[in-house]
Amino acid sequence: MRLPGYSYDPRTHAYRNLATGRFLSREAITDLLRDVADGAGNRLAALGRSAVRGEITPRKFYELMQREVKYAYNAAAALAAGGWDRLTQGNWGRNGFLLKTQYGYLRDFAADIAAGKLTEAQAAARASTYGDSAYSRYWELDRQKQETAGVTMARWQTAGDDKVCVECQALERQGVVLLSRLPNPGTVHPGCRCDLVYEK
Amino acid sequence: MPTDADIEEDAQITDLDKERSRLWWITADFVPDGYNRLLYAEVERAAA
Repeated sequence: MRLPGYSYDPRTHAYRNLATGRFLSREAITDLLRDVADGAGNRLAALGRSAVRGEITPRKFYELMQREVKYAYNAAAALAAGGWDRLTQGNWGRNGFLLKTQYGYLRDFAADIAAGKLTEAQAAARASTYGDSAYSRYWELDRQKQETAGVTMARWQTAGDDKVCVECQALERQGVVLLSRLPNPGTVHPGCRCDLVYEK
Repeated sequence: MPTDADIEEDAQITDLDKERSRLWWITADFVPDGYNRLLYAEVERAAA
């Protein structure tokens, strides 16, 4: 039996649930993105702890991390693009380019674990930042699509709770500004889960 | 530790990586119920 699926409207950058006929709100997509980034981050953190405990070798840690990070990057890009089939060769290539940089950092990370420089907590925290980088990959591609569509203005939106950091509060206070003046969410600090809200 | 050449190779995205990425999304327990088919939007649109 085929499950109800989704369609994607490239003009409005919106997904539609084919079972209900309703468009998914932008908030639903960014909430989903947060769930995925946090879920991936938790899995990566578990790998970091396992490596420090000696349950996996640093080399195995690198291998498992590089695969998980690659999948998270690819999924984040597909979410921004409107589905797997909308990812272009350029999108895949950009993922590969970004991953190469991340893997360099990952090698250093594995070397630090091998040298006994990290506690379990430190390794878990550092590993989970790779979930942040997947989160930022979504925003990089999403921003690119918006810029292509002629959007030039945006505002920073925090979660509005007591966990919001000082930097993100300051970005939000700026209100609507040139999109080019705002960083990608996920890059401001570890665990950043802010949004960009585009202004037409 | 991996060499620069290893990293270069690891960063390549093969067709197998693409399939595994799709599987990763479909099977991930942190993807909420109902969203596992979201990224197949184009396929579903063609079939609709």
